[in-house]
This record gives sequence, C-alpha cells and structure tokens, in this order.
Amino acid sequence: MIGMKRRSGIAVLTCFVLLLTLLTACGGSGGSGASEKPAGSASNAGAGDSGSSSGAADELKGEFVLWSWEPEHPTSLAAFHQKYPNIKMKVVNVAAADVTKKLQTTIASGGELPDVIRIEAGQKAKIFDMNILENLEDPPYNTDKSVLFDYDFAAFSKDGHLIAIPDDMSVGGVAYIKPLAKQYLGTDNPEELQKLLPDWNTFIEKGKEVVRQSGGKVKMFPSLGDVHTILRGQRPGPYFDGNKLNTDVLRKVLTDVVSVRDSGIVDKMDQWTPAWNAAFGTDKYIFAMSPVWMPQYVIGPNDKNRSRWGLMVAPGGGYITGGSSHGIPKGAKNGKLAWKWIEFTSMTQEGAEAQKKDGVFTHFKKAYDDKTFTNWTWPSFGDQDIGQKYFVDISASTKSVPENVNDLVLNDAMSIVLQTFAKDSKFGVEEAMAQIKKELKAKAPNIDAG
Amino acid sequence: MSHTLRTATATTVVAVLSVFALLPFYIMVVMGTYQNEDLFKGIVLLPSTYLLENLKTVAASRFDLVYMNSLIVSAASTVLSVFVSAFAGFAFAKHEFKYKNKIFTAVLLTMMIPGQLGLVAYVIEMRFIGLTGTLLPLILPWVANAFGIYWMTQYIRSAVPTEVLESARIDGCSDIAVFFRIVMAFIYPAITTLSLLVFLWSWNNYLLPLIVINKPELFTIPLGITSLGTAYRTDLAAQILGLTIGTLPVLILFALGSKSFIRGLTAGSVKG
Repeated sequence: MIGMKRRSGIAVLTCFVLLLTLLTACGGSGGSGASEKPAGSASNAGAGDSGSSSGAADELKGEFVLWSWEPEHPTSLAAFHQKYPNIKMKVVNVAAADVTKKLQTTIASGGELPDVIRIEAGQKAKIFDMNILENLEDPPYNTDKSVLFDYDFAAFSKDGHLIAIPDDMSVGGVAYIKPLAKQYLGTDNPEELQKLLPDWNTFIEKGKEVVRQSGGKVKMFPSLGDVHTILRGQRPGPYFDGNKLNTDVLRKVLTDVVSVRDSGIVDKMDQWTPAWNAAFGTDKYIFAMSPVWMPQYVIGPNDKNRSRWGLMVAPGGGYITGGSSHGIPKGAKNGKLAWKWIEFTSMTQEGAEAQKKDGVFTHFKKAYDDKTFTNWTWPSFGDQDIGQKYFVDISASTKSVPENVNDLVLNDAMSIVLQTFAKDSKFGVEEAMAQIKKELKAKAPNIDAG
Repeated sequence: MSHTLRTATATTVVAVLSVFALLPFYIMVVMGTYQNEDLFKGIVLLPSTYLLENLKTVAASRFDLVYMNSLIVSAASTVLSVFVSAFAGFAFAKHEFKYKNKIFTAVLLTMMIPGQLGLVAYVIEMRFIGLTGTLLPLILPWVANAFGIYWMTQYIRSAVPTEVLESARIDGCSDIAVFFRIVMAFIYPAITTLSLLVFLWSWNNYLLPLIVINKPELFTIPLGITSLGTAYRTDLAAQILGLTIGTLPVLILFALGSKSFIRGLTAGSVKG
C-alpha cells in the first residue's frame, strides 16, 4: 500500500515537472537576470577591449561580430588586417531577409546584439525604424560627414543623425548582350544605343520591332520586375510625404509599367528567381537592369561568357537601387572595433582602392577626384570602361528619391501587383491602384492612401 | 478481368505513382552535379560533371562541422524525447494518481499553443539558465514533447495489456523494470515512429537555430545551407548538393525503420 502511494507520488511529481518544462518551452518566464549585456541599453560602445580610437592602429585589439549574408570582400579584408593586425572579425551568416527577424527576437529577449550589421537596401527602412542603431556622429565614432557624398546624409540618417554608412554605390544603368543588340538594333555601341533609345516610348517601339523580327524568340527584358525597378528609381518624386501616399507618382509608375507590359516586349519571369538568374546566360533577352553591384554579383556569376555584355544609360536616365550599408547597434560591446572596419572600408582612400579590386565602389568622395579611379573593367563587359559609364554618364542623369518606412509596405504590395500584371493581361492601372490601396490600408492603417 | 490483368494494371499504376514520387528526389541528386548557371537551361535528367566542384564549395563552408552539429542535436533530441515521452505515456496510461486527467489535459493544451508564440520567452529562459552559446537550446524543446507524450499514452493504452504488467509485478518486478523489460517490448513500433518524426522535425528546424544560434561553429544544416552563396547569387547547385547530403541520414533511418514506422502509424486502426 505504501509502495503504491509512493509510486503515485512519484508519478504526480514527474508529471508536474514535465508539464512545467512543456509550459516553459512554449511560454517561458520573464526572468532578466542574465549574465549577458542586454540589448538596447545605453551605449557602451567604447567600453570593450578596443582601446582608444585615437591610438595607433596596432594598439586596437579584440574581436567584433558582424551579421552579414555574404563573405566580406577578400581584398579589403586583407588590407584591413594589414592595417589593424590585432582586430579580428567574426562573421555570423544571417540571410538578408532574416536579419530583421533575428534582430527583433534578439532585442525582445534581451540577447546580445552584434557589433555591426550589414543592412540590405530592402531592409534599411525597417531597421532604421527600429531605433536600435548608434548615432555615428557622436563619440567615439565622430563621423566626418564631409568624406561622403552630400546625398548620403539624407539617405542614411534618422532624426537628422547619421546612423549607417553606405558600403557600395547603387547607381544603375542597363546592360545589354552585344551580339543581340548588333543583330536586332543595328549597333552594339553604348553611345549609339543611348541615342537610339532615349526614352521609354522609343524603347517600346523598338522592342516591338525586335519581337517581330525574331518571331517572338527574343524580348527586351526577362521580367517586368526589371522594368519596374528602373521606373521606380526614375519616378518624379517620393512615394510618400510622411504618411501620405503621393497617388500621382504611384499612378505614373504603374501606367509606365503597364505600357511596357501591354507592348509584349517583356517576358513573364519573376525577378530574383533561379530561372531569372539563368536567363543571363541565354540569348533570349537583349537587356538587363544593371546597378553598379550587378556585374560582380549577378551578371558575372550567371553568365560564363566573357566580353558579351555592354553597358548604357537606361531609357529615361539613371536610377538608384539596392546596395547595402553598415550600422552599429546600441549597446554593441565592441562597437569601436567595428567602427574601425566601417571607417577603413567606406571612408578612406586605402579602403576605396581595396574595395574596388573586389568590384565594389564606396561612397568615399575624395577617391573620385582622381579621374582614373573610376576606370573599371569587368570580364563580362570586355574592355568597356564601365566605371566611366556608371560614374560619369549614368550618374549625371541620376537623382536620389527619399524613402521612408512606408515604402517597405508599398514594396510588398507592389510585388504582388507585378506578379498579377505579368500573369493577367487584363489587370490594369486602376485595378492595381485599388489593390495597392487595399493592401496599404490592411497592413499600415496609419498611411493615408487617398 | 483476369487476375493477371488486374495485377498488371495495379503494378503499372504503382510504378507510375512511384516515378512521380521518386522523380523529384532523383532530380535533386542530379542537380547537385551541375554548375549553378546550367541548372535552369532545361530539365536536367542526366548527371553532369560539376559534382567535385560543388563538393568543394560545400566542404569549404565547414559542412562537416555543421553536419556534426545537426547529428548531435537530432540524435540527442530523439533519444531524450522518446525516453521522456514513453515514461510519461506509461504513467498516464497505466498508473492511477491524483489529478491525472487534469495534468493530461494540460499537456494536451500545450499542443494548441503555436511554438512561435513562446519563442521570445524561450530565448529569455535559455539566457537566464545560461545555456545560450551551446546546442542545448535546440535539444530541450523536444525533450518536453507534448505530441510524443500523447502518442505514447494512446499507444501504451491500446498495445500493452494491463494483465501482463500485473503478472510482472506479482513476480516481484519493480516499476522501472516493468517499463524496460515489458512495456518497451510492446511499444517498439511507436518508439520507431516517434524517433523518426522527432529526428526529422529536429533535423529540418530552421527558425529556432536562426534565433538562438549566434556562433557559426554551432550552425546546423538548415542555417549552413543558406550560407552557400551570397545575397544576389545563390549557389543553388551547391545548396542542392548540401540538401542531398543532408537528406541521407533521414533516408537511412526511414529505410531501416519503415516497417515499424508503418506499424506504429496504423496501430489502433483496427480494433482487435
């Protein structure tokens, strides 16, 4: 009897312990007596083992943690290690689209944030809005804003303070397959093509001829998303004034996208899919959108052929898209060491030269005073000086359009609309406007969509 | 319809269905032998010559370490989950104690709470205990596995005769000995089924490692595979090869335990 009772007691106890574990696995406690430094607390960026920022390079010692989705550029990393031999970098690989998710959970749980985050352009507004990044104008960073381009300040600031430093240029042109351009447009010379295709109306008319001549086998772009990326960058003004949607600007972009779609000169692929990547190696599409990072990251890796591509100004002028920046989270233990990495790679002549060897052009303004700095060739483009094309011809026709966190919500709505545009030829501008307004209302009620 | 014709028709249908089921797996294996740029130029049915290069890419990402981490996490999760679930199931199914039904209901209720809801609290808890920076936070959620307890309770209720347990006790067997010597023999199919399921769930888990793991040396396969490429150029061929290699343990386990797995799943379907 006693044995039975004891067994029952043990069973009840076991069940309670088990249930407790189950509940904690699902619910957990709100304990906060952790030994690690909580995120989001007051800055202690200089409190690590980083030494003095004014000290000699080899006095700085320690390791900083970077969250990034790609290996850092090898030449610039080697140059950095040569200058700062005692600073080590530890990269934690976090997919670009997962950075905000991991940040939010880490902050909510009081976990330890990294010392520096690589911020992809598409996530920038969201991360900026989280208010977790250090003001880089304050000590110990003391950013010298004059070394960057003037437009960088607006693009990488929040509440009038610089909170991230741009890593790579993101001005964009249009790349084209030279043999196809020669065959269907009569020339593969970039300047002649620019004269031939100065605006989107002419581009559409020429595109119709190309499709007709090729019997539908060759089109101008693989995806309507490419066209939209260019048209969005060329829009006449920002999509939002604070929380108010500029419907005229949105309608103009949508109208232009629909005009291109209805002309039948663009294929129906979704952008950034494996099939879209593979299209660069085919002979089906003459043109591809091509921001500065595209030759290194997309065209080169996806097309083994050398010297097959040319670069020109897009119809309607240059545009800005993509790119990434670096920000230091508040409370970073070794923010000062991380800052040395940002400063070296993005704000010095040595860094700019090292990054260029990796195919990256930084925003260090002074480097561009030397006209030869922009001389840049890339195997896919043969001997064309694409640096000259990007930083002289295309830059001259490019303007930066301010964005805020509402642009992210609009981007989500737009990606659905673009897919519908491609699949349903009857889906027009008014339907798209209505769809976008509905999405904005559902996802961000604070937006005045008109 | 003659017997031969019926057999031939059934065989043909099964063969066609098998092709549909196995073709994606075959294509996955073949895709790992191609260069990334050649993957989408057409349907790939024959192996290519790029396997070694893709293997080098996979090896360069310290895949052996990632693989070992996944094996440790999944094996430990499976063993602990099955052990605790079987023990708890035995208590719920074959013992009478105060509040038994209420506790069992509470266990079932925890199954209704989506795991994502408790994620932040779980990370806080792990920090509080001081387990961050280890693989344990990836193992512990499986140890207290409500589904496993429910599964084992139901199985033990229907598959283990109480009379056999009582006979063992009359012969002087302790409760622990009854569990290991008698109950375990009856619930072998359920153990196999639960082991395979927990191993698979743990092996494929992405969200928890993404949130909890901050050291590259602790990455598991789902995290390791995402690092094979860059933001703009995903090396899909290398990733697919990584997936193929990552699928092997699960395949081997299913091959070894398929009979018991099916017996475990179909247990109780026919009232005996």
